Amino acid sequence: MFHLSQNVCICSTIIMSLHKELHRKYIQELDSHKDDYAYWLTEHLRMNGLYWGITALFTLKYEDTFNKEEVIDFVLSCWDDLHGGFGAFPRHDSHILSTLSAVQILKTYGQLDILPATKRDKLVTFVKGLQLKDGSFEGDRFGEVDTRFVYTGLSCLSILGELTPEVVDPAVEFIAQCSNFDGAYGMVPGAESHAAQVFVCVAALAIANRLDLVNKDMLIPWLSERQVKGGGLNGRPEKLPDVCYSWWVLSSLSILQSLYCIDQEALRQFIYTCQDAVNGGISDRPDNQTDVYHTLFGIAGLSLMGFDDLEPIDPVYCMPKRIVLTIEKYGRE
Amino acid sequence: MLDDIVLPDSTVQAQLELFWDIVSNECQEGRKYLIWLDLESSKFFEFHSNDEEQRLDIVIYKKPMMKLFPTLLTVQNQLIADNWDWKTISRTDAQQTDKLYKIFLAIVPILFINNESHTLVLILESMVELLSIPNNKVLRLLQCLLTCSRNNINKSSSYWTFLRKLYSTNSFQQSIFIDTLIASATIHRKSYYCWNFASFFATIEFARGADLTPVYSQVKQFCMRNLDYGAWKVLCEIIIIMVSANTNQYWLKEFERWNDNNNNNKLRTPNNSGRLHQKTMNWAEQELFMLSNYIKSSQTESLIPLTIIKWVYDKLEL
Repeated sequence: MFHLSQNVCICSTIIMSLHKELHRKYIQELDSHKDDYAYWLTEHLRMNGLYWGITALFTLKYEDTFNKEEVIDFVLSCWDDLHGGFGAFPRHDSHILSTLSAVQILKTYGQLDILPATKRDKLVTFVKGLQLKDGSFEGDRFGEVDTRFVYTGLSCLSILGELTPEVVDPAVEFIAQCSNFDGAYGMVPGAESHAAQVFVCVAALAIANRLDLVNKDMLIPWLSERQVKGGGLNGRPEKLPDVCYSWWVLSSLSILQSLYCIDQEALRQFIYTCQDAVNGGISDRPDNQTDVYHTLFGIAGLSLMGFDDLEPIDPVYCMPKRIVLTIEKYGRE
Repeated sequence: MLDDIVLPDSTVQAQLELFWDIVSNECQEGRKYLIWLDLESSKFFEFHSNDEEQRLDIVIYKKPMMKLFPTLLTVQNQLIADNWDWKTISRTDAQQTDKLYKIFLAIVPILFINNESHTLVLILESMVELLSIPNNKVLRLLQCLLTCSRNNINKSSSYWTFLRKLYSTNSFQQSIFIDTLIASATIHRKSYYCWNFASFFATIEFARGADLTPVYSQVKQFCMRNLDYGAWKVLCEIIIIMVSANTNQYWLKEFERWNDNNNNNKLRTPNNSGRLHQKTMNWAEQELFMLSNYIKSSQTESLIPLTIIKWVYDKLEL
């Protein structure tokens, strides 16, 4: 046995493979458990869950697992005609998070054009309407503001080819204000640094073509310090490692072209130990309950590091690279 | 339409009404603690006074609650069904508001299960307004949510945002919020949104002209027990505010945003509030010296809070 800091220990038995077929089966079956409570408990996250599952399947090179027409029908059934945008489930109110997931799914399946011009315009109006004067974005009319939503707004408009300086410039200014003394970023100006917030800020700056604003000399060491004994990555100092940070931290390092700053082989082993070797799926830490969120971010982390012959994933958009290549990049010739 | 919505049977409705009473009423025992237990029971919840801890324990039994959940979710989904807007019902129609109130009671327990259902939060906010639910009851509900035993609920960014919004648009006692944040931080160590709320709260309290000494004292006590980075950062922010009146401008703008059309709830100017309860640089130096010594002498695996103290020294140019 060897020990991770903060009382987590993982078995020294080295598991050398990613259980691709088990993970495919696990994701495929998530939608067939409609009689399970868990299915209904996650209704409010269904659009995000679908995006996580589809992106994991594409990264595993099992893109034909789901029936494409059924997926697109579900996405379109979540359209909120009153406010524009997409909800997490049919008849739910639209939110910027479920809207991005819907747009990502449509783009991944090459079906963005299925939206008629009127809906597309309404969608763009919905997203742009959530931006406040200071450049930040609200998630919906409830009014919560967070750098997560700035990234979500920019990513969504970028995929739709609708970014303009009027949107980008204030958003960049807001993100710049969220940078802390340690070089990392928080959810709003002055808020504690957090690796997931680092991802959304760095990725948003990448979309805006403004990575020059990142304090790389401070941020890269902060990100590399997220790796703990045992190989996993955490989100803040002294927190436990969690597989999802294999994405939030790694993608940030990848965008900053600094993946070499962490021990990739150790992280790979940590992700492997979080697999359910019987039923498939990946959990946050070894022996915990698996879920589709951690399954995607474990697989996506492995893809970023170039392991297991996975489909290359784009660190900014968290979508297959070959699909992201078709997105027009803002501010570049 | 509202009339078509099928409600749970009368036995369940009676339990739902009692549940709302318990989570929303003032607690004589001190405070409430809502805990989930993985046990079978004939009811989905029970409550009892915990004299030792000076609190009211509310126990939700997972198995009956999970059996009840699809019924409650069906009520919610009937409410948001196509082709009509429930928010247009007449407030003066007693029959309709009574039905809506019963729907509200069915929806409240879902808040303790689905942590980030944005639609549910919007429903709650609209219902509170339509049914004129008193703000102090909403505050107690949020307290129960944010101090409950389930981490995905007590760390919900939507619920913490709701608390900031409610705090901003009302005048409640300072101690209620201090109790909530310390109770939540104790249950869920290193809670990101909890300590961001604390930062917001200290900033606005100061700008409202309140004395930050009680907040400082409680957060300091917590820090002495926990080398929690977020808590120490807030402690240091409070020192900066008390000495220099230098506050986080973003939080002030957020407060103004929640009070966009409310001229009765404006903040004092920073200069005024600064004069009211300002501490001296000497005080700050003594505090920082004591805190540094505490960290260095404590048997801890981490010296991370020292980096935050260094940040205060730089910020105050000490």
